[in-house]
Amino acid sequence: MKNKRLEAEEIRHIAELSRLHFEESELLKISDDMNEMLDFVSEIGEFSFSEDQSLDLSSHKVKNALRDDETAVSVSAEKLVASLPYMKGDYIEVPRVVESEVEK
Amino acid sequence: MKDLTERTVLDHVRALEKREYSSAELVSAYLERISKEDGELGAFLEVCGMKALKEAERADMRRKNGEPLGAFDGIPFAVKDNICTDGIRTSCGSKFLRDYKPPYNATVLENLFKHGMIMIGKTNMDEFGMGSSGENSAFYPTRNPLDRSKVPGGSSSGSAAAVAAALAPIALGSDTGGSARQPAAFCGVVGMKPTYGRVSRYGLVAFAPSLEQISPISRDVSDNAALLSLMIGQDRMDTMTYGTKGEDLSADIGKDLKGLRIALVGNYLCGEISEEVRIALKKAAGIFCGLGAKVDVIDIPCLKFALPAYYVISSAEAASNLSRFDGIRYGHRTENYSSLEELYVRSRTEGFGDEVKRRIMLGNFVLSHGYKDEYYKRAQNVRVRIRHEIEKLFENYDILLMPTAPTGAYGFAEKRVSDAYSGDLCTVVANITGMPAISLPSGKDNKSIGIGIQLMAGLGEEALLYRAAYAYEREAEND
Repeated sequence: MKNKRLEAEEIRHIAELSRLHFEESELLKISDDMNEMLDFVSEIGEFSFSEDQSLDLSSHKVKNALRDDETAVSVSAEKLVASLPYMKGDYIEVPRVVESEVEK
Repeated sequence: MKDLTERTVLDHVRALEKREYSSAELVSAYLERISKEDGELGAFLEVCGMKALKEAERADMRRKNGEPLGAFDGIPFAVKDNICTDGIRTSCGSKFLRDYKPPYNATVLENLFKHGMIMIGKTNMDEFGMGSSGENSAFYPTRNPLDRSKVPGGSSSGSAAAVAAALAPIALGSDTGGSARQPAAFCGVVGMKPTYGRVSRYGLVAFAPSLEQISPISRDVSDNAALLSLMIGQDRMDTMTYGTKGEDLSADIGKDLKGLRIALVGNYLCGEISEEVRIALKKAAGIFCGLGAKVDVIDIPCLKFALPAYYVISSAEAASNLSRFDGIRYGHRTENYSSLEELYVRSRTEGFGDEVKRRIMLGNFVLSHGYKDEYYKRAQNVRVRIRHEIEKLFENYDILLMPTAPTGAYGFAEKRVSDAYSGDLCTVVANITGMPAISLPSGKDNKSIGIGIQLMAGLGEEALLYRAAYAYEREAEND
């Protein structure tokens, strides 16, 4: 696991999953950084674990605290609307989300 | 008499009660100090001067009219900029959220406002909490008040620096892997990461939710315990919270340490730990022995896997959490795009800094097909194993003694990517186990500045930590 090195192609794939873009000129830097980070975390490869080990971290102190489903006042609509960046009159302006013809 | 701003919160509470000065005078004193010092320090991203003064006047009126008062009525405090403040910019140190004004307050702030506290401003931080030097703020770096050529630590860089420079009497940070304790150590103040679930995370902008807690940073142990006592309690908005409001975590402060069983973590007496830190650690062990505690050196076998496991888990959670920043709902939106995909990608690429991008990339890699068992699942196993090993240790010991960081405060632009990660070696243990841990200044006789001593205890044992920390603090001061 120590020797795992990410190639440019894999970096591009992870960038795609991450919805991030790196220019060709930035690819070398991010590859180096990623491989440095990977070397760093790869030490856990030496840890021997059993498949059946429980992943349960709950204890008497920390567990889900269920509550009754009661109605209550939430943030007011006016306040939420006031925090939006783009408004036209009473309308919320959202970005155009249709693919352009050129792209297709 | 000490300068007004160099007093503790509990000093201020007493002085306000005796009408030695008013809340308005108190807030003005801090605002004045901020305007004098913060241009160079860069601890604040936003100062709420007018609002704070108005609230101080209101607090003074309440006091004058004999109205019911909160525990910390009229006391100002600073808040890390990843904690949501109603109508006040909450940027998380990121360009992505530079204009974001939340429509609500974090639960912890509502709790403190109920006690009459006054928010004086929002503090600088490493972008989204990712970093341990304060250099990753998208706006400007914070300087260490003890030595301005050094970093203040991070990611709660501004909160620790503000308290150390007496720009605020106390502050809120957050701690995902040491982000409150390590800057507290570097700046010579006290930082506490509470038990996971003690403090509501509602309104804390998520980086790695299974690890983080909002954490008080203070001038001394008593202030820290008093503030945390006002922050805690079950919250319907955070299902992982437990416990009742009003528990007094200061209750055991002042009790002696006779018979207390302390395990000095032997893993940290070698390896990457600097000579000076080891000396400080041994000295602390001596102080605890002198106070009547029994100190043994104990090795914890799995501990070497804590740091890589932390980086796998925290990056995986970050990758998933930060996917909400898509340019649609809030925050930065790119100007130029021709498809939805391009809108996402450009907005994120323009809005995030380098370190945030690196963590998102690492997180998506360790969660990706073919690698998640090798990295993510294994890291979760490490997490459980370490938790069990330490729980077992607590059958025979009350407290673990360790350094806060492997070194003291260092210079700017000194560390490479993974070097900086190594700085979290001793703090991540408390986050991956959920246990409470406190960082205390180790004393002033060291050559380098910012060496911290860390105490960790079992789940829910904050009162015990404060008791031990207070006894240590008094001895270290008299030293």
